Amino acid sequence: MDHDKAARLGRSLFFAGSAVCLAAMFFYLTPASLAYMNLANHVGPEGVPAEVARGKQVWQKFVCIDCHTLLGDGTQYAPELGRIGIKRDDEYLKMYVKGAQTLNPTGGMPSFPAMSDQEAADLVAFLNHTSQVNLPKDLWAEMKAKRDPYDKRAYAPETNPFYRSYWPPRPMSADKQ
Amino acid sequence: MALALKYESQRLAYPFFAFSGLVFGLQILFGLLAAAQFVWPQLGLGTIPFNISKEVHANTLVVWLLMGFMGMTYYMTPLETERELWSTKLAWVQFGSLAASAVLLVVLYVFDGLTGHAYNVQFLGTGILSEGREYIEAPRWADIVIVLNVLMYIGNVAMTYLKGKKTDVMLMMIVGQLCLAVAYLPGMIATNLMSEDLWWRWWVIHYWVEGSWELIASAILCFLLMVTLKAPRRAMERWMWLEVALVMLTGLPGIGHHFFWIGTPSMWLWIGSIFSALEPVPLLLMVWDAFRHSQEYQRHITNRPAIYWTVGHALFNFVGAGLWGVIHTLAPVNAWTHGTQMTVAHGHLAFFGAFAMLIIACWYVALPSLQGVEHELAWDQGRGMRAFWWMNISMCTMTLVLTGAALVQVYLERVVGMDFMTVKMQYNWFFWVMRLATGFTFLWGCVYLWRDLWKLAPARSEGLGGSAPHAIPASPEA
Repeated sequence: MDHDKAARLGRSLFFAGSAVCLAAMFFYLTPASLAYMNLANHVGPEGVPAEVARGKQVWQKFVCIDCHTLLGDGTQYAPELGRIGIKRDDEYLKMYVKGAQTLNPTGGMPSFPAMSDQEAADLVAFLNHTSQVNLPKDLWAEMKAKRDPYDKRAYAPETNPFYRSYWPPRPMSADKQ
Repeated sequence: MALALKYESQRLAYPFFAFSGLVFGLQILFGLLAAAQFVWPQLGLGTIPFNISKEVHANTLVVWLLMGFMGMTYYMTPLETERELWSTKLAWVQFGSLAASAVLLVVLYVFDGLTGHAYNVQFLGTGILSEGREYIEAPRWADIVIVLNVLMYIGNVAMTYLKGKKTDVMLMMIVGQLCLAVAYLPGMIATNLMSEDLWWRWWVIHYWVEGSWELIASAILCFLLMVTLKAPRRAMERWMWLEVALVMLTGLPGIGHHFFWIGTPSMWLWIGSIFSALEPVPLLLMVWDAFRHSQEYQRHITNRPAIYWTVGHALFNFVGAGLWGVIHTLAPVNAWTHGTQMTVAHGHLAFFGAFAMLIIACWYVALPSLQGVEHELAWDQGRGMRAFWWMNISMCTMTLVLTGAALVQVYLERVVGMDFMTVKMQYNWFFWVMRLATGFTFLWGCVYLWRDLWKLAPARSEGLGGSAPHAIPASPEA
């Protein structure tokens, strides 16, 4: 194949291929995914609750994502917080997010004297909200009451039959029980 | 007679390269601090805690790579279009505003750490000191400055292109730059939902890498191979189009591997897995392209560091971004490795191989003429080679160490069910010490690099360029 023909073919493949992929992203994959995300996050027509929205701002104000992961995204320096709402109760979490060094003086998390009580409450509301992602709401409430992070039902089969577990995966010890 | 630049406006490349070298230094220093904080978690509490050192480490990476790309663009645009840059004044304004914003951002991030985030109040819809979103922490006012800056850069290069000779390499550069500006915009979409926040954040990060930087990098790789090997333009451009077409066809849907388990539909498990598995294909093609041509035209090599860094870039782009990516982006594997040190191992080698090495190759291509050395062999190439080996061996070891930490973490935390902190501080502590050590050896390699960036040393023996190979300069076929 001569140069011009080969280069033309490559150029057409580049522009046409990119256009097709981007069209698929814009016109189907993104609208479908955004609609699903509302379901997975239990958000109805009234939108995200105000305290959760404020809590997300607090999460960003204190740059939490540069130490922690949330839903597996973020930094692997400190524990994942995507299910912290099940593992810890609200009062403990409110104390911890403000004064980590008081509760754990040898740990690496700083205390935040600048964080107000309202900000701490909003942050915990936000963490509780993200703890429900991908879980049926009633199951989340039941688990939160039981405080059992390894309840098997937390990892109910997903819609896709090949991937049976939600993240984080079910520990082997729970499998064997 | 000293090596001369063909066009006066090519000189603009030097301030961009020098500044990117300085910011690279800052990135390594904050990286070392972050690595030390893994070993001693209380280090920096109350002053520069881990989130700040990580924030500066990641953001300075973006800035110095961007500066490096821009510098190389200003070096190669006059050569490709066969005319002076449209406006050197505009390029200086662009350099000044970007450099000032970058310095100001680092100062503000550190201030944010020192004051315990007390002053990170809302301004234009984000915190005034930090947006608090990983990799795109730059607050909204800085987002606006960055977009305006990139528009100035695109305008300048596009005007030069329109008035000058049209080449495929320059066309690819301009397309890549346009994507750079456009792909930054989704990061400004405001949302109260964390899943949506992550969704748009990945549009910026993944599409900057796959949909813009890879295009610019492919154009630069094509140019570097033409310059360092005197390889024929027609063959190089043909390869370039094929590579970028495959990069886009696999990389655009390949964003799916970032959408696992974050509240997105399960179709992404399929899309992400399939296209991520294909993503290494164009990168392997680049390795073959670089190796084949450097073998075929090796008699033309007069600048050994440049060709080592160029071919090394192609290789480690494939290994770091391709292989270290695909080993954990298949959904059944990612179910276990999601959010573990495997991502860190991949991130380090991928960014180093895909972009850092390419920018360093650009420095070595341009520095002899920018610094006006006597002739193309009259400088000591040994420093560049020592930097190459020190930095590469250090980065490979660091990646292996982090991969080891990831395997231990996945087994103990995800399989056995142990607590995150127990695994981190008891079972993986040794890996953090090892990682810190490789950080210092990496820094040692960088010292050679910075010395060359400051001033190339004269050749040790007349006419041989230090440890330069027996080379016969030939006229370019381009």
